[in-house]
Amino acid sequence: MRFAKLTVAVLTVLIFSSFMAQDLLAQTGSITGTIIDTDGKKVPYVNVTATNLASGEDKVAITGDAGTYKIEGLAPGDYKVSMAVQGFVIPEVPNVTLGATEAKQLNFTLAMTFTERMVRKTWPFFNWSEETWLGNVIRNHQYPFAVIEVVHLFGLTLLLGGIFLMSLRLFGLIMRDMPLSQVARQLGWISLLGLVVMAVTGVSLFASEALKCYNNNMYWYKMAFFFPATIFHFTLYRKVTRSDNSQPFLRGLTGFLALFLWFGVAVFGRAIGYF
Amino acid sequence: MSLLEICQSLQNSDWGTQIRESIFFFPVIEGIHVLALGISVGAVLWWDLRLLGFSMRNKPISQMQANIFKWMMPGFTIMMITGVLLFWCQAEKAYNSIFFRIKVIALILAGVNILYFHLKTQRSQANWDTAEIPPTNARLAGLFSILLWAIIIAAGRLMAYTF
Repeated sequence: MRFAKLTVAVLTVLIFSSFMAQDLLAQTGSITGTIIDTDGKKVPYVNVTATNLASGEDKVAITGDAGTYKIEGLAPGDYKVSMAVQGFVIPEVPNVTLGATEAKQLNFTLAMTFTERMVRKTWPFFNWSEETWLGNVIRNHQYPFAVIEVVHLFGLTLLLGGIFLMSLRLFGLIMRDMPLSQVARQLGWISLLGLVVMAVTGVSLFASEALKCYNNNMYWYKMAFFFPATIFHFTLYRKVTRSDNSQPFLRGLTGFLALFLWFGVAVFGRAIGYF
Repeated sequence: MSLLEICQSLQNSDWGTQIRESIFFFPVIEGIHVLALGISVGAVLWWDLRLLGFSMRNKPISQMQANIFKWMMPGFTIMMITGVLLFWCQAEKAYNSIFFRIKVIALILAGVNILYFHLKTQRSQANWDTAEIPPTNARLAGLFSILLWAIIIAAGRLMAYTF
């Protein structure tokens, strides 16, 4: 009996140590590195992917505030290394060959895209906006934000409603008996009032969460639509809707642009809340 | 089954759950619901302003009606369909929300306002069709419509804060 128990004990130890030895002898390598930009600053949020060319297996690591990444547990072989990050030009990285327990160092210097550079220049404005009296008041009280959002929606109804009706007239689908300029004079104030209401409430909402907007791509897409829409509204749109002898094609184009631009603003405006 | 139980079964149904938990469908349905405000309520606003005698005073009311109604209908249809879908997937939450109840009551009142105008007030339309400022009943119909839609929009937005 004692002999049997001893055998089991010895076998258990031998089996366990063989597993441990296997781990110690495990042949895995790693790829690590630091990523900085052309100004020397560390770049966080870079997704670095190492794809084993033989097995097709991916391993990903993401850089933190220190700009460093570490991809571990890689079997020896050839790897394709790729990167993904917003706002920087992604370089082509030549494939690397990893030895059995090799720890490869791959550092990168990334160039910012033009858009990213321009966006970052505006950061001080966003930072300042958030600390204004208006921003603080709305952020620190329970009801103002909700009320301002409701009024923002009233403005949206007026603006989109006015644009919708004017577009129908521009397409010649309603009120054909009334000259275009007369329709514009009777209806134009609706969308203008809507625009003013939305601008005032919009600035207030912005002030209360400016930095969140700065970091939200949907906010930038909204502004990319909003500025052209507003400029368009006070130039070509105004000119065409106040003239009675413009070409049908130009009228149709104006109506289409008005709908496209303002609904574009609305779509991305709504999307802000989801991202 | 009580009203609450009906709402619970709607919310927990297959469809309801799929819409509510989808990354794509719920935001898109909700986005369409909000954007269609412009082509529904935004359009009816113009009609209400004419009834109030504030806009397009030299245009006969019957002519405006013929012009605008067929373009308003798609907008309101979209609002109804997206609204039903949104309610379906959150029926129990909506049932328990005071703002949703206010919204439903206001919607019913808006419907009553419309019915009353079409069935009663419009009977004498031949007398005031071309009037710059229509009679009081017609003006009130316009005013109530604007006020009720404002309440509906506000309650609709505030609903989300109670979920």
